[in-house]
Amino acid sequence: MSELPDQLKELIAQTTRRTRLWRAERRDVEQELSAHFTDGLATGKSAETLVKDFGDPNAAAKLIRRSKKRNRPLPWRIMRNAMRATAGVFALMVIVYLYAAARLYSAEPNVTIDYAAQLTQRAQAVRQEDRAWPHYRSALTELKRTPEEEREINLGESSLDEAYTRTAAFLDRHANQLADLRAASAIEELGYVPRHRISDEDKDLWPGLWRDQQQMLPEEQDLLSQSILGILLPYLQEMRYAAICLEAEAQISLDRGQDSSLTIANIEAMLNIARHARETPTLIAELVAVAVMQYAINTTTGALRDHPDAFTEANLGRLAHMFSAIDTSDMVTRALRAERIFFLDIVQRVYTDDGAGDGRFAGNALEGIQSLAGGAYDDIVITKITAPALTLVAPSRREVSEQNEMLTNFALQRAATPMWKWSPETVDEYFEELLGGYSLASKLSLIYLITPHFDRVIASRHWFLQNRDAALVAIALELQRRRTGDWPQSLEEIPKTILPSIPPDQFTGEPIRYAIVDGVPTLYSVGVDRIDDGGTPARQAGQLKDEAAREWIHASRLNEHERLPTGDWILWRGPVPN
Amino acid sequence: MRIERELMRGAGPVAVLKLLQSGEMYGYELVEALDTRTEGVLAMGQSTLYPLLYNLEAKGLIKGKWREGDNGRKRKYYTLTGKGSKKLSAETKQWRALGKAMQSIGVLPDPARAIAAGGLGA
Repeated sequence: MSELPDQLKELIAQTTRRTRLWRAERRDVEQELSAHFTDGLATGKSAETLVKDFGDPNAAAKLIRRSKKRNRPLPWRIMRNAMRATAGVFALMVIVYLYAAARLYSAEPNVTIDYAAQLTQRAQAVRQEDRAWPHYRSALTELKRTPEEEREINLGESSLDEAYTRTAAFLDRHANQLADLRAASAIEELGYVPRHRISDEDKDLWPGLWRDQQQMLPEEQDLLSQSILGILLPYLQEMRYAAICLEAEAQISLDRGQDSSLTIANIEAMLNIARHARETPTLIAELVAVAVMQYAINTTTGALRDHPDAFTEANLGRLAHMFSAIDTSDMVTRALRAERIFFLDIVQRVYTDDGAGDGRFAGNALEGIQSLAGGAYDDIVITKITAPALTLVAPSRREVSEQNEMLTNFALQRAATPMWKWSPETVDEYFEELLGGYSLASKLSLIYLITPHFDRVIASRHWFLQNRDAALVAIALELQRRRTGDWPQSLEEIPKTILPSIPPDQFTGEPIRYAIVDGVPTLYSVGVDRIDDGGTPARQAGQLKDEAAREWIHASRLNEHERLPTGDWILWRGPVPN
Repeated sequence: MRIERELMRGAGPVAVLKLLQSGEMYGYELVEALDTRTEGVLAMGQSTLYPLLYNLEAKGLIKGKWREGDNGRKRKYYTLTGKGSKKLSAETKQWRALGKAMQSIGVLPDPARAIAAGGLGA
């Protein structure tokens, strides 16, 4: 090349440089062009002619680069194609992500229905002067223990326990407030309107909540925290506490040898408190109401065991009437229906509304959803970055609404069916099936994030029914004992005027079981194993476990459980003979 | 006469393969041969020839090898490969068919008629 004229050297240098090829490739091209021009000069052509014949060096460089690259080794070409494909896929993903992000963060929910008003409609309709709540409030405010005292009402194992003495002294000091609670419970309507903040009137009852509320920043709440999920329900805890106090007072009065009038009054008050607790239909209210009614049942069955003679026949009749009169027709099902309202309210705050029942997820609901999920997503920044991609697979408004409707209907149908007729599939299993086996998409479904586990809620209804029925039979047994002087050998011996029909065992649908075990009249259900063990308490893995036998498993699936409890579900044990 | 670029794109490679059929040649030699033997019709600038050679090399139709020529200078000599021979044979058939088709519609003169008419150098 050194022999070539400068203009040809420059042409070669310019062309090879512009090829941007590997060094060895450039050297090859350079040598070839050099040989070419040397040959050209040797034929007598001038450098100018050769430059002219060569053509445009830029175009040459481009063509040479393209053709030379085709000569590169196969692994290099495979790698280049793979990188191109990867870059293509990545670019496509970025485009899809940006599209999804734009859709997500431009979406605006449109809140059109005031579900909170629907939920609290009944409480709001009660006139101020007809409300029981102010009476409860003043009684409960004074029933608060001093900071030195524990709030727990605990009667211990026997009246000799220190806890028993302390609780009895506390309740004695507050006999007036307990009377006020009874009076409050007798009022027709509760009239407590749950809101997102507690009212000024309630600040002395809940000073802690009130203090927290005062320290909260002025409204910076997003749409979701204004949903009915954010409504405070502290009154339910108070209703439960009131019932616990009344239950303890009833037991103490009987232990002291007093007649049953206070006990009867407190049982009636407890049933009224349960009714009040159900004023605003929420799942938690229903569970509290069932628990409070259970206290009333426990008070009765405990009294029939420990102080059977404290009741007059008339009082026993009154108790039977009270328990029979409990309206169980919509127990739990009412709360399941109310849960729909909660769901719909969240949906209208999380999704856009296309006016035809569908819509897409709105990005500004992410933080609220994260707090709802309670740790399902740990970091909001990561959530916000990943959310656009996740929304591509997350169910739409219509899909989650349909899922929720199907789940609610399944749960409602189960709750309204006697336990012994339940299908093998639990609500949880149906839920899993509905969501397609807890796939990623299903975990992004609102229904997965906010739906409570319905199985235990539904079971609580049937457990209560079984206990209530057992309490009615226990009352009938006591009445029969008084007439004949001894426990009947079978429930069929009790006249229909006392026990019109023998209630069913929730596990079999057959009449509830009765046996005299070591002289003690015992009412029981055969329990989950469906085997009549003659009133033997349940054991699981060798340990006595009273309530293990009430946990439902379908008869066809008992063999799937290794630690199946044996024995019976004991519903009532009568007095132990002297 | 200059040939249209598209037409040249099809004819150029076949012409190079054909020239190499008779033996190895180096770049400048090919440029000259294309120019002189086709009376300039298939003459192509070097900026076109070398990329064409590299493409044929990438396809395995020709093979380039550096060696010293008779004058003692190093040149890259190109030879036809087996694959190149097959390709040339296939391409030649196609060009012949094309030529025949062109003759039948009168784009190219029919040699038989031309001879009968006293043409084609007769």
